[in-house]
Amino acid sequence: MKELSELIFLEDVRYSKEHEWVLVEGDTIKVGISDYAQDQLGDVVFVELPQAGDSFEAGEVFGTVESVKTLSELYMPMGGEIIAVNEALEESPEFINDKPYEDGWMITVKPDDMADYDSLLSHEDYKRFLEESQE
Amino acid sequence: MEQFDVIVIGGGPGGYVAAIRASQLGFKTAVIEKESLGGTCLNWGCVPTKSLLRNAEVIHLLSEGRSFGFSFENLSVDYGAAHKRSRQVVSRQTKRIGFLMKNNNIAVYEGAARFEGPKKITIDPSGEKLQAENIIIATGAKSRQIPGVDFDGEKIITFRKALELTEVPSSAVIVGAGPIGMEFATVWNRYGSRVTVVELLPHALPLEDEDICIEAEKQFKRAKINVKTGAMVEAITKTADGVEVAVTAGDKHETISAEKVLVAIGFVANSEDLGLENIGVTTTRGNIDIDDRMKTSVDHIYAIGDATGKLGLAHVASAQGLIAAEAIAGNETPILDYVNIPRCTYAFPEVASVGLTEKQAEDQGFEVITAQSPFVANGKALAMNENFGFVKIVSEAETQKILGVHMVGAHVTELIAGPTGMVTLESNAEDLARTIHPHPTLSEVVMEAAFTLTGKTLHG
Repeated sequence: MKELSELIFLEDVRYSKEHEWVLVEGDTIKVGISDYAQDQLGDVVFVELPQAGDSFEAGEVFGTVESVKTLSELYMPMGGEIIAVNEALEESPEFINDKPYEDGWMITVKPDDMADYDSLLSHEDYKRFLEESQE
Repeated sequence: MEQFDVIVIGGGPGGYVAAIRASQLGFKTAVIEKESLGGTCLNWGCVPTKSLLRNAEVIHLLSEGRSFGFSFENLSVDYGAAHKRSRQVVSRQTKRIGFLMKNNNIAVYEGAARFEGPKKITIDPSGEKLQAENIIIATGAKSRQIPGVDFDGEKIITFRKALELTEVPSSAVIVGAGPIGMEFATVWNRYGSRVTVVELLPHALPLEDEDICIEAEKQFKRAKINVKTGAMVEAITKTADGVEVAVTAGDKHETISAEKVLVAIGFVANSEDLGLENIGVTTTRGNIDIDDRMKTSVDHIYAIGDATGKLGLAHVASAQGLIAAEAIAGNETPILDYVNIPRCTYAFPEVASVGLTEKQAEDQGFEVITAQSPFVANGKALAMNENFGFVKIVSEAETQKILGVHMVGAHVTELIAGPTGMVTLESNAEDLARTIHPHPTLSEVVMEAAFTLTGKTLHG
């Protein structure tokens, strides 16, 4: 597993404490899991994602990710309606390991309140959060 | 030319397990796989069939729904979706094995292996050549053919093609009422196919204890699967929209028309095309000869799994694989007792057994006592609405040593591991009766059977 200093922290996204990242795209957001999360999980074998049209509250489980080591739940960083799901992950779940911020994106969401974005962690705050939890 | 300490030919449950152990023991290891890691078991056997059988189980539960309070106008079932899920389950597992190989530093080569010399292997079609100090052959087996009947992959098929179908045949004849035949019969029947199974021997699931066979046959009949035992297939003729199967049972002749025939009469080792004759590895009726350490007639070459014909089950191949790797390392290895290895059938009903049948025990000269305990009185079975079947213990009269445990009923494949432990430890019925089983579970019936055997029946 990678050291904290080796991990990628994308700067123009925000993070949840459950290790999801959120990218604002106009009036929708794109969600995936961070480089730290994929590194901890190990090789991803399968992802179970919701369908477009499903709605979730912030903090609710919207899917699961299965790796060689474990089965992990995915939590909504912001509440809203699922607009699109990354279908490519069905055939190529490894995108999550190889490109967690690009091809490994999981869902796009129409958030209930875009202002919730500001209460997520900036990349510096997320990095600090990880440092503190490692002590 | 790449050099390895150990090359494993075949990446199925025997091969990939042997490779992992070899790598753990410090050997530079490679696996040569000509199709898909996980072998027949993962890709075209054990795993996808269990996924389809789970679907079949759900259909069964829903169709019994009235007493549970479920009602449907028109329950629609989509076999295409069931098939898709089964392939998805397979793909998740093959990926997992791929990662296991990577994380254990095992090189994986794609292609078919051929011996060019005792320590030299050529891979087809790439032509790549590898050298190895030790070789483990884990090439598996293929479907046995009915003499004179060719598999055309369309009307006359094997289990492999059956798992590729995206639609269930409207009608089918299945030749062979062993576990594979009956599992397909179960799935196809639940999805609306008219299924006839033709079995040469006197019983369906012919290798099981006779009492188990009789109960299983009762349940097959209830599910409207037509099983003809003591019946032989004389000829299969292809017609415009299917097949005609000529069957003889005693002096009765009949012709059964169906859309497809599935031939499930057993397996033949994959030991040709390897060049074994050229290097002195001996076979008997196609099965590669091995000793207790999986060693073949050639010192540094080992063989495991279906290719050895000992007991064609995935968990046997894996156990043999571990022994072969340890033997190569010069470590002490246990002697596999092929009798005390559990055998499972995941049809409806499920059947599971370990050890000797009553008849086998008698034939071996034991003075035999047996005891049965039915699921009918079991609270959990009743609550689940699945209280048919029973557990039968076969025991030596004087010492009450457990020689065999046989079960038919819901979920028995999950119950057989406990009794397997008892026969491995050479326990007797008293030991089993003294082992407290949790309540309420189906497993209690195993304990009840032990009570009955010791003469102290509790709930019956």
